[in-house]
Amino acid sequence: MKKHEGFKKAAAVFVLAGMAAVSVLAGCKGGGSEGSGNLGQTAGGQTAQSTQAPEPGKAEPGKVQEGAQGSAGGREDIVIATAMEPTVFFCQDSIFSSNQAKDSPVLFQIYECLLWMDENGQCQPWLATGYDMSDDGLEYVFTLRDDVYFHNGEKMTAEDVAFTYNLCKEKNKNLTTNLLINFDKAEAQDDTHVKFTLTAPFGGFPAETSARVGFIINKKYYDEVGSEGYNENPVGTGPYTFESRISGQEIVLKAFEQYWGGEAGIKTVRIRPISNVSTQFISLKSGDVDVVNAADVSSCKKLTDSDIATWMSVPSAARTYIQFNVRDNMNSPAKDLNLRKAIQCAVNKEDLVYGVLDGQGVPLEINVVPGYTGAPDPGTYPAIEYDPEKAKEYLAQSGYTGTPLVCLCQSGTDREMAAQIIQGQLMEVGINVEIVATDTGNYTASSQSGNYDMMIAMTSSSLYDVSSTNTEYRIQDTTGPIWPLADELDALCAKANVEVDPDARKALTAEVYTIVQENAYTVGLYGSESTMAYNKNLEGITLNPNNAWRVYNWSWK
Amino acid sequence: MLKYTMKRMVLMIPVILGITFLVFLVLSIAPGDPALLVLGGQATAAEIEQKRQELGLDQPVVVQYVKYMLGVLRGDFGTSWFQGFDVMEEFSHRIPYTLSLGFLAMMAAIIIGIPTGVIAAVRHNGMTDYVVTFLSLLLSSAPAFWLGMMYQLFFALRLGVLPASGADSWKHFVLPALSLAGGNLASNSRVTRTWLLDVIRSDYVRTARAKGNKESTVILKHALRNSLLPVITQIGVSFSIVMGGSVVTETVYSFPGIGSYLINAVKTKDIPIVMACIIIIAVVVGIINLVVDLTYALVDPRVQLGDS
Repeated sequence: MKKHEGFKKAAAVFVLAGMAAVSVLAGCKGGGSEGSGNLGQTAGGQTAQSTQAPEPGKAEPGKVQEGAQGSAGGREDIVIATAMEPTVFFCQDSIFSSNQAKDSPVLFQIYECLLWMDENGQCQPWLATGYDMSDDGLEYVFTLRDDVYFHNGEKMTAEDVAFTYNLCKEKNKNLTTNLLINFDKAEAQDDTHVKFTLTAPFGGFPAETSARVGFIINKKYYDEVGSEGYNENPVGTGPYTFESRISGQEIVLKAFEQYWGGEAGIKTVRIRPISNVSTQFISLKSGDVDVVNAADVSSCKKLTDSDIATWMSVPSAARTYIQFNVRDNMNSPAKDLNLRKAIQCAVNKEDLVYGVLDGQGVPLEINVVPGYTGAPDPGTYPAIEYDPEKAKEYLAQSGYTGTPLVCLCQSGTDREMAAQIIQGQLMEVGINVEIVATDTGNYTASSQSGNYDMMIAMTSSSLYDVSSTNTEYRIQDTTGPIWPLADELDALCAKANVEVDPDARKALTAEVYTIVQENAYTVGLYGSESTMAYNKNLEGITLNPNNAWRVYNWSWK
Repeated sequence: MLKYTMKRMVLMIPVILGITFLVFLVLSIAPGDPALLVLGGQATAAEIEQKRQELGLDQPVVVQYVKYMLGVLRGDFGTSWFQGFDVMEEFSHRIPYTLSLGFLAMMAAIIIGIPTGVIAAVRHNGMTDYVVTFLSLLLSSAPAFWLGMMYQLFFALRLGVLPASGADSWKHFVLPALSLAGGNLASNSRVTRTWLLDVIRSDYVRTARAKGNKESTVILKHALRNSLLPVITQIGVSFSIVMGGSVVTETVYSFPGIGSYLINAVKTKDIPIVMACIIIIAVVVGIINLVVDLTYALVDPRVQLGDS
């Protein structure tokens, strides 16, 4: 009996002691690698392991990739972790709410556009070998590759391209408004030429053919299965075919043998949703996953030489800014110009970049990322310097009574962190801020209804073009005019959108931002970066400003 | 017992209706127009109105609720407003994972928790008792997400013996189940110890010893059975906690159950998914509570279910 009791005692002690020891040991040891921070970090905010200027991939879109044939190291598969689960695989119909950040990890492997946006935001040939623009800027004729096949074996023709764009205009008005500006119709001239007609000229039109709105679909297959069928089992021309999707677990893609650039070296791609940042990096470092998409910068910076992973980043198309509530029908303290100007001067953007992005970003003079096409040149608009004393002067001239300003932001995002830093900065000059951090639903409702004094917003541009920022200063159907000078701004933005001459377009946009800056309607804060953490044995990784990437260009050492 | 079981099953219906109506009501009156969220900020007022009609949001809340529940009775849980997928189809993939995880966590909590509680009671005021009590306190005070991260760091990163995320093989279930079991394991251990200590001092246990029975027979056959009723109650409560806790654990381990699905759906006000999750959780918890009540009668012959 004693022996029996001894066994039970030993078992109990072993099990419980083991579990507790794991907790304590993991906390101590794990902290060394996960929680210590600043390992290998330089003063400039960049690690020795990171790659700021990525090497171009061996095969650019539009070029046949000889190096992709076969993979060194024996591995022919890859596991990619994404924070959000890709769920929409068909962009041409508004019944599916596609999202660039969420869905592009899958979309850019199975579909292709006419042009590809490279890491500098420049458009390169892809399914189209080139294009011609008419003198009046109203017509574009794209020449297509003649050797492209869909995953169902059908050959891609100009008919498919025209159908893709026309279908999107018909069925996805929201995406058309944002990503097919001034688009009227597309027509097939012959098998390899397609003509796009615009309602008015738009300088950023070529970039529109590189966005998800332009993923070419097969007309015949669509006629058979419709939007739902297409979303369930997508067929594109990309280097990977859609194999399977297990909800919440993984999406499997397989190399397409008939791909026009040659079959991909990495044969199987597994995309797994891992929302927890800590889990993403533990999985990466333990080899469970090979790539972390849109990786957390702070965690990237904690990767050390001894880890099997490294990281890279490029300037992204995303920008974060303050928007004030200056609507006529609202009684917000932010309608006081001097108060807005005080805030404009009191925000230290450099501190925000370091506090929110660990230094991996750029302070913005205006609400435009400097790399956007059509972005006005510095000096053509008033730039506001950080000047707390000037802020106090403006504040003294204002009618501000000390009432806390309601600062709206989305909870759990970098904007919430930015709001907290701004709250401290404004407190130093005597402005009180109450942060209201809400979920997506409440945030959208409050921002639409104007239930805020100031709002920390983030917007990206799939086109990497200034038109997306101009949209914010146009009169929206849902909200109506929200700026006191709405008519003037709307007219200028409309003119900028149809201006084909790049210099004239920049000048018009500079006028827009002169008004915006002088009236302190918005305050540009920072532009962030697209980041990716990956196994050191992977080669050929490139990112573009919209965090789009192609596994086809990657290979194992 | 059959009559009692049927009665309890019927009583579950108003409970589920009440819970679902409450959730539906709260989601409906919460700020944020789902039509606007689906279409995005650039949508026109006409498009938003059209979407509201498509989703049935233009009708009174009660009408929306009745229509939804009539669909549920036909096995139609609707279509996700944001993903376009059939909710029931998604659930058919995810429910087995959540139930398996919950079951494994409960098993771990019972198989480890009760024996350690027995040993601690038998070795009352000894070193074993102190160690078990201390570790139970440690486990019950450690949040599931923290425990999960510690296990990941140790077993996945340091030892490399178990995966940190996913659900491909049995190995992927070990760490989530242990994380989820932590608090309940400790509770089971402490409740078993407390009640067994109470029973051990009873006269009938002393009599059993005096009759010359083996100590293991006295403890396991006479004392433990009489101290199990509160433990069974605890297990019933634990399962509700496990179902709730799976939301966090599934997120930490990227486990493809309904917990992680529910979190994302609440954020985006995807009502069909939220409602389906709530209905599933309510039904499962209801059934488990029924099973617990039925188990009382099996363990304690004095309990006569349905007689009252």
